[in-house]
Amino acid sequence: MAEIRYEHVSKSFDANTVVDDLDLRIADGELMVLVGPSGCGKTTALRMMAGLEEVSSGRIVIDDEVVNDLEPRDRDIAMVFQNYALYPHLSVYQNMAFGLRLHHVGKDEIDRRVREAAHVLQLEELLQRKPKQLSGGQRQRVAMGRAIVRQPKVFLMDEPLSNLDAKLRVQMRAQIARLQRDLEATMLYVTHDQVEAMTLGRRVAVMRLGALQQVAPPQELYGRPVNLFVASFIGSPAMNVVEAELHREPDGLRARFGPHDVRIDPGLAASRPALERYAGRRVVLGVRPQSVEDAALVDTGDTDSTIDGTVELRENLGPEVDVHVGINAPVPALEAVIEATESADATGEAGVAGRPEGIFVARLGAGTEAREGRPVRLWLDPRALHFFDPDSGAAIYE
Amino acid sequence: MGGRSALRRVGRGVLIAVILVWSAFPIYWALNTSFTTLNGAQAVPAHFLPSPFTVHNYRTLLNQTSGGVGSQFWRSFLNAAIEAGLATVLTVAIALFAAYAFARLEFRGKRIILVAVLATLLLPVYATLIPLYRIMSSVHLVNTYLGIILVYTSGFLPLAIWIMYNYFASVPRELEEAAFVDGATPVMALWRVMIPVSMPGIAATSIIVFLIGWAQFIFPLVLSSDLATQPVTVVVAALYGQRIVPFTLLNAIGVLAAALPGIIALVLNRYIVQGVMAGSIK
Repeated sequence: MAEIRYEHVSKSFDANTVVDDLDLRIADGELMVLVGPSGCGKTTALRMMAGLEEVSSGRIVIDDEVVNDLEPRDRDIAMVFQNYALYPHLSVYQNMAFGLRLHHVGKDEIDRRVREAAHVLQLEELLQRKPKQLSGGQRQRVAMGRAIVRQPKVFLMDEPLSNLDAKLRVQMRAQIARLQRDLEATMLYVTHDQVEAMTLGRRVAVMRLGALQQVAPPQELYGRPVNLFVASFIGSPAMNVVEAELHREPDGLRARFGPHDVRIDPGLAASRPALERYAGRRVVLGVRPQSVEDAALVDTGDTDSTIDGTVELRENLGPEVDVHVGINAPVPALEAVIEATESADATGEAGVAGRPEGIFVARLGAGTEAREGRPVRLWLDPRALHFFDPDSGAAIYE
Repeated sequence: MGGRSALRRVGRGVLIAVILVWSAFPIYWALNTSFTTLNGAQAVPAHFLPSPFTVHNYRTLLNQTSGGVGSQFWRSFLNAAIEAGLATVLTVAIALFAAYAFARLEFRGKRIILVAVLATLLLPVYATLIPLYRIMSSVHLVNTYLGIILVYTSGFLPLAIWIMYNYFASVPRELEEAAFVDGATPVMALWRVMIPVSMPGIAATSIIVFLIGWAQFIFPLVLSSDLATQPVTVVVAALYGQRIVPFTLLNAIGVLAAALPGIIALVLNRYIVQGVMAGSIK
């Protein structure tokens, strides 16, 4: 096992910069997830680590060795492909043994490792089958097995679960996490699915348009995103964003958007001193659906944090209810938001991209009596508001 | 709706029957004629089953008297097999590497070279016949196996490259990439992954090239001057031209000449199994 690093790595195809100055270190034994919408450069970054793609500039380092000029076979890596890429003419056993044979591992040792991996992955009954005789989930496990038996320095996973159905995906996700922990393997895992990224990664690296946006543990990405893109991309349903104006009143800062005017918790304002500089200016206000509640269910008497709207859609989730509420406030047409949420929509999550002007999504308690076509009063948690610069999209903190 | 689909089924059945009769009748008639006597074959109205039935024609072909029709036939049969067979091996071997290069490697002028190779398919045979004869003559390869095999190979290569190119291009790149990551050099990936995976395409190419080689007439007619290298097509034409060999016997020769490629196609056909690729991807 080993530490791997991207040192100012860029990749261009002709005039197109696909990966832009990527600087990222994955510690020995760490599971790092690279996540972003399609075309953000995450797969190219992974392929550069594998040696399947040349680096335009910068250095790829595996175990303190610069490997830019090394062929994939000399990098001591294993990779699981999105489409598995099993050798169709070889049995499951031979598929797993292939790499070991090429490395001249002894026959007994090959047999021992293959059977051990087969045991871990519950493939023992399938060793003599050909790939075409396997189900999607079984093929995925064979692809995993082929990587494991190699005992490489680094595991590279390119959307390994995206061809599985939802239920199997959750199972395999847990299995991969367990395997990674048991093997203490250094693993770089690429996905476009933010839920997968959040549940799997100890740290998650969010990419957009070839550039790294933020590298942080999942909870930090969710609670303290560095910009609008990360804020919109991470979390489901996606964060609500509206154009607002900050203004200073005797009781503190407030945010006005459309006909609404909400108080900003003094504690929150204190932890974001830079907000002061935006008093009297436009900002983008972000509110996660989970930070919104039906005012009738909140016993705070806090009328300074409520907004009124009309329920346009009610979706029962069981323990909770998602409502889409028309609040008559302008939505900023920002590239970052649109890209983040369109990508989320593509994965079947509700995003704001599909939301018409001024629709606010709120995840309410099951006790809500919000009905479609009826007015509703929403309470926005004043301690859980997010603020972004409307021009740069950067989050406003210090 | 139902009426239309029934009509369509009947129409398709008729079409299949017409095509079947069209292509199978000559073979049937050659068989029919080869198993009867000259009188039986010339009877009016025609017999649709051999009458009188005889294997005399085939027995004649087994008679290996030097200079006889039998020995001429078997020698030319052997010639055709050697020429078409070795040309197939050589063609497929070269096409394998050329097609792989076109399908997978990046090099300057790739597109133009590929188009140029394919464009040679458009040249009429007669345009190259005389120049090729003169070239072969100048290097003393006229009426040799080597000469004919080289000419065949040069003629068959563009088609073989094209078929294999398309097959290779359809093989997902990830298969090779998986091999690279697993520790393979490009040559190993070609040998241990690409070629085994492409066996159906290679078998198909081999069959097609062999059948074309077996059916060659014009080139060997020009490049072979005697039984040392003349294939069965040329010898049959010569025997027919002499008008002393009964056409029942010629039909027996035709049946045997068609049998070899037929058997080969049937045997190798097993490798052209649909869905060999299934399971590697997704």
